[in-house]
Amino acid sequence: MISWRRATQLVLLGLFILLILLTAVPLPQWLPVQRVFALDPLLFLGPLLSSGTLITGLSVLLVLFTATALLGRFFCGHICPLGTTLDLSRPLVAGSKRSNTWRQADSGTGLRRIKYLLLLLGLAAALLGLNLLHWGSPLSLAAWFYTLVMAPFFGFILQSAESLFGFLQSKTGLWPFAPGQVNTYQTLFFLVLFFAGLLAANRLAPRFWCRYLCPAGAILGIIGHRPLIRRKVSSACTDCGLCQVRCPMQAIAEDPKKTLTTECILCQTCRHVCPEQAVDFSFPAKNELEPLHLPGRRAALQAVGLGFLLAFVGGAGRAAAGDSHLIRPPGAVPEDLFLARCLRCGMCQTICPTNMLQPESLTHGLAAHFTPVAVPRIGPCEPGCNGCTRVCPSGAIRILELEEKTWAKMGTAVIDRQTCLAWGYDRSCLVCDEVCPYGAVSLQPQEDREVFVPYVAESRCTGCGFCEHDCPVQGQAAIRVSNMWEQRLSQGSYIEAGQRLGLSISRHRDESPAREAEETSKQGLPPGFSN
Amino acid sequence: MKRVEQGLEQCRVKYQDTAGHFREVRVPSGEQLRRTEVMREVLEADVLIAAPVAKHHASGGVSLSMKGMMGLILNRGLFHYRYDLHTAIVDLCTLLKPKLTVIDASRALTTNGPSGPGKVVHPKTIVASKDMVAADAYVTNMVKWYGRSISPDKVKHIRLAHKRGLGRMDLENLNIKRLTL
Repeated sequence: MISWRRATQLVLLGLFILLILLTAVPLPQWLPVQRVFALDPLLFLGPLLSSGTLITGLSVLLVLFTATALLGRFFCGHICPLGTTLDLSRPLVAGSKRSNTWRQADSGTGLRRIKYLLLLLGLAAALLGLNLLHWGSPLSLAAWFYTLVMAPFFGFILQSAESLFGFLQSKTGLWPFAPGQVNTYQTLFFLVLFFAGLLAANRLAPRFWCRYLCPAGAILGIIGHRPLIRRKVSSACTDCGLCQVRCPMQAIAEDPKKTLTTECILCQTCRHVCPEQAVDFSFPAKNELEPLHLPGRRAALQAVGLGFLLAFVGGAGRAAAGDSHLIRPPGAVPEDLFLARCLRCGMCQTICPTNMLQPESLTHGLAAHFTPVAVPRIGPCEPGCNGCTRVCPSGAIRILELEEKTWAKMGTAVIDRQTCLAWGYDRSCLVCDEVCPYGAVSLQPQEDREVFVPYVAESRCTGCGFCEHDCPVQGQAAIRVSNMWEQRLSQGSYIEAGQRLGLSISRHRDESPAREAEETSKQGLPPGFSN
Repeated sequence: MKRVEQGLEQCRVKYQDTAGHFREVRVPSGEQLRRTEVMREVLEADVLIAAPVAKHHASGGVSLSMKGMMGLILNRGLFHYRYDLHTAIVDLCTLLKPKLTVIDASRALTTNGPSGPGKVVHPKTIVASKDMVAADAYVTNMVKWYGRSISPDKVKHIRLAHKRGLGRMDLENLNIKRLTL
């Protein structure tokens, strides 16, 4: 029979996956994307320490902390989508022997301290401006897993099935799936390796991640180490040791009557397996607590030092970036603030209907790793979409209405006259002009040329990348969005700021720039005609 | 974003955007374009009917039924960077030759095509022909592009198509019927 706890886990994981599936354009108004990510203490602490920003949804976190102080790490055992994923995948990776391989109660004590050290390291780095805490955030990791790996994988399967069995659809109209665009991501290989490692570690010990590594678990463990509801063992206990072996968190000490409350996730496995029914969870009488297994002073200092060092190294990478083609989503706040606030949850990449938003690899340093970067060659920014601005849980991308988003200039298209078919090869090509939704590209006659050549009116260009995406030049496009004149505002209206700068970005135009009705080529004919 | 078919009853728009939706075929009469990937649905269709709107096109001169065939293939970029655009359009039309062409010239974008914004005129005319070249030639002749009368032979792909016998642009020799509704 399925336990209440497992049922809770399954329902909540289902809701989490549903949240991800529903994070698509059009985004349902009621979808609580922001609030869900506020559940993770690390996602709250990262931006707070590294940039002094309070992200929204603090109330959710306070509820969690209060509940944890009363109940202990119930979040880990009942709510956390990563924890549930690890629980569910355990039978897949555990092989034939499903028992706890490291069964001695003290065998993992040293390893257990790693999570506190990782927490200290992350906090130290964040304090110096490098936010790495999302690496240890179970919600972030679960979101990566489901949005960046699983969703594309199943989309790929469906799409392949559609082309394999497409004839079924054309003959009978019965094929029910129309996955349409399936997003894929540049860092897929890395991600698959990463999660393969995470799941494989599950084979060494159940919930390897939660036991030894999870910094969010460390915080919750400390907050909840004196809970009101505790495990109690009656005198019926025969010291058989079954609970110690079965406890997925190895939270039962050598004396099976004692509990490591920082580790216990209230899964109640011990209660279910006890042959004497000696285990109960209730208000404590005078039940002794195991001490906190915190790391020693020396190790703690080392972790802090390493955090500082990482902040230095990661920061150096950021300073060295200097890449004019690092394009951020529309409405991304100024870069330093953006890096500090971004939770790397991947929701903006998930919702992006053209797959333009990609997780950044390590090219731009640790600081930028996994932040969303816009890659026009993969997809352009749809004029009718403001999805990414509406799902960002941390304000790294501001919530923008469509008109505001239009003015949130991501960059400016620049033509490479060497490789442009018209400029460089005298070929009649107009694709960039044709596809520009904002009328920012115009073809103009040149005195010394047969063909009309494209020009970009930079004040009309919002950097959406349609031109770069559709440029027929092979490999790197001859017209590329550079972050020149990008607009990054932490507050205030993009429209007002843009108008002050003399920008004029609009989808609704009566005229193209610099275009006369009587333009003619050298042959005395309008563009496109020839003798 | 709204779905394309919203408001259209019993109508489903299919996205045909990945290579799986296309099949590579030979273009036997192609001069430059010898092979291309065409939408499977088009290749399997019983009949092909071209129904373009009338637009100016800064590379093609006009964008009518012939130029419109580029919408049915996977790799249009080649037309721009490898082949001569007009020759390749005619090559393609030897393969994708509609049984009937119906050009919507109720309105026509006469400048700054194909994307606009530009000057839109209202000829209020629908042109239909079994000869795609003749239909394109007729509309080219009828509409004033950039405010000027331009004969169909000034559009290179119409000129080439006529020369290669794909259809006719000599409007004066054609039997043209005009109906007013």
